[in-house]
Amino acid sequence: MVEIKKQGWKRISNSLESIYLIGAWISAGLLILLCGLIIYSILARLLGWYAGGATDFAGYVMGGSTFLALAYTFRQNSHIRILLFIQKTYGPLRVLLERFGLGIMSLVTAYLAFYLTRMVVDSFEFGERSEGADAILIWIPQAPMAFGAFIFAIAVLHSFVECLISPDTYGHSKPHKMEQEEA
Amino acid sequence: MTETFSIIIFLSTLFIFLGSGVWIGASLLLTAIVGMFLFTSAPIGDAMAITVWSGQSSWTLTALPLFIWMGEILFRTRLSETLFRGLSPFMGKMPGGLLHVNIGASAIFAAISGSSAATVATVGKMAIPELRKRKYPEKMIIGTLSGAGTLGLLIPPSISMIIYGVTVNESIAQLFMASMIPGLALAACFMTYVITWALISRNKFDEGPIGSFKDIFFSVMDLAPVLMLIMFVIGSIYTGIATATEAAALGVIGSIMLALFQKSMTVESFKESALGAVRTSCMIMFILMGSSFLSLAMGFTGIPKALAVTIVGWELSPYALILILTIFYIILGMFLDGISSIVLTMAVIEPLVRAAGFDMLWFGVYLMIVVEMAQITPPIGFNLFVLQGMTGKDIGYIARASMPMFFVMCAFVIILVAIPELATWLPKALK
Repeated sequence: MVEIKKQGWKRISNSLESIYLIGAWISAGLLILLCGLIIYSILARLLGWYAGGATDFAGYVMGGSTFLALAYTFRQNSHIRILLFIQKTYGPLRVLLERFGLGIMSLVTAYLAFYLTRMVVDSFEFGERSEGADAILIWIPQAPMAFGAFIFAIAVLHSFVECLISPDTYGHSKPHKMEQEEA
Repeated sequence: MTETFSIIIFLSTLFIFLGSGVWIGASLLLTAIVGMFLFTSAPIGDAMAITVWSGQSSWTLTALPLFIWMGEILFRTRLSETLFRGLSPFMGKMPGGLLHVNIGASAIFAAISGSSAATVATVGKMAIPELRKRKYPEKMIIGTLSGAGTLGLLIPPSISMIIYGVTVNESIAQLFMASMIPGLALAACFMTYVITWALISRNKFDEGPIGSFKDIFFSVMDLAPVLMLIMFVIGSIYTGIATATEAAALGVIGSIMLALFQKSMTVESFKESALGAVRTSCMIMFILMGSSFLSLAMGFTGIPKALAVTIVGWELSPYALILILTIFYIILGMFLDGISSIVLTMAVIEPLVRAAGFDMLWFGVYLMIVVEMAQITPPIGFNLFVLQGMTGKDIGYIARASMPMFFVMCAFVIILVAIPELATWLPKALK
């Protein structure tokens, strides 16, 4: 019985993992699109092509790119936090602090996902349009952000559950690789 | 009284969550939520959604992921080798020998990547083994690397500078103009220190690979495309041909071409570079989401205004104020990384600095240097962590080796305060 439960969890875990990764790939694709878009706007300016709303559009593409990779970034341990104090703790206290941190993080990301989704629904219902030259329906660029925030919340919850089940093996108790992720 | 109490709750929320290891972005968001709850009756969640959305889809910020990507691409080329070979014939002859290559290569790579940790990692990859082989003192190898690595925050294009510009609404192009001369001057200060040290200690060092004229010619030819790329990117901003974002996009294309030309670009490394860029920008963006909402909440609390009024009321001289701020940032930097300390403090410090009448471009340059110092002070210093991983020495040893560079930077802050034109001249001249 326990064995079946374990296998089931592993299956869910793996399929979630691939969702995060797909998000990351789309995000990388959007980054390439962002670059292409800006190159296009430079060419457009030089050659007199039409590029109305290109700057707004670039912002939307970046926003989508950021949000769709939040979950992946989190699961790769690339979001930073201050480990100075909790690194000095061990045993049950450390487990408690890890669970506390992940619990808070779950609440905050769920809150963010909820209100971003509500914003999209509102924009959709009122048919709001952007203020720029393009005047597109604003829910279209907002939707990927809300969706990204939603997977992000799932990813955090995923880690939280892992930490509740087996605090020793879950990903975030490993030494943090902050040294690679600083700009 | 209740006001004071609310402020205490608000600020202690921030420190408790940050200190207990909650992710920085989430800590900031949560503190902002608490602040909004205590100080306003505005709908919190909706305000957050709008703030996050408009912040994260802003045109000014688009330069950030692109510059990060450019650095990620070049990081995966044979650049560290190129820099070492290309620079050593010129710098090896100075007193202190090849240690200058550390500084020179860091300055060049800083211009490419805009990130301190990446600068240290890339330059160190080639320089540490080469300098060890030639029996340079370990302390100086580490010290020059961690010190000069901080140039990444100063020499344009710099990621932290973009974040500062977005946070205080200053032109990123202007900030990039302001930080160029101070960046080069700071590199010169590091070199002066190495020369002085070499002259006093009277050590003789291996001057490095001095090959035939032909070898030198080829290594310089190797270096030329990189230098041209940098000049192209920075030049397009300075001449006003391109905005910061456009320069970043051109830089990405340029670095892809360079990597293809060097035959160091594979499909795999291209994918890796894009994913790496996505990870790093995502990490920064999450912090920025938190900080943009926190700034909004901070505004409602009235703390920034009150603080500005109080401190301006003290009628401190600008020098005293800068002294206080420097100490404040050094202490803060012991616990926070550079980006977090910039975004976290600007909501409070910006009104104060504006009220005191500082030039915001100058202040940006100053801020980069004090935040840079934080990169090499224990217990949290990213350059120290990187070097710990690369050399296998413990953090205390690396921190001690970096100490002289820390003092060089302190001295440079004094120079910058004494001669503000270092930062303000170029933006005016290019206007």
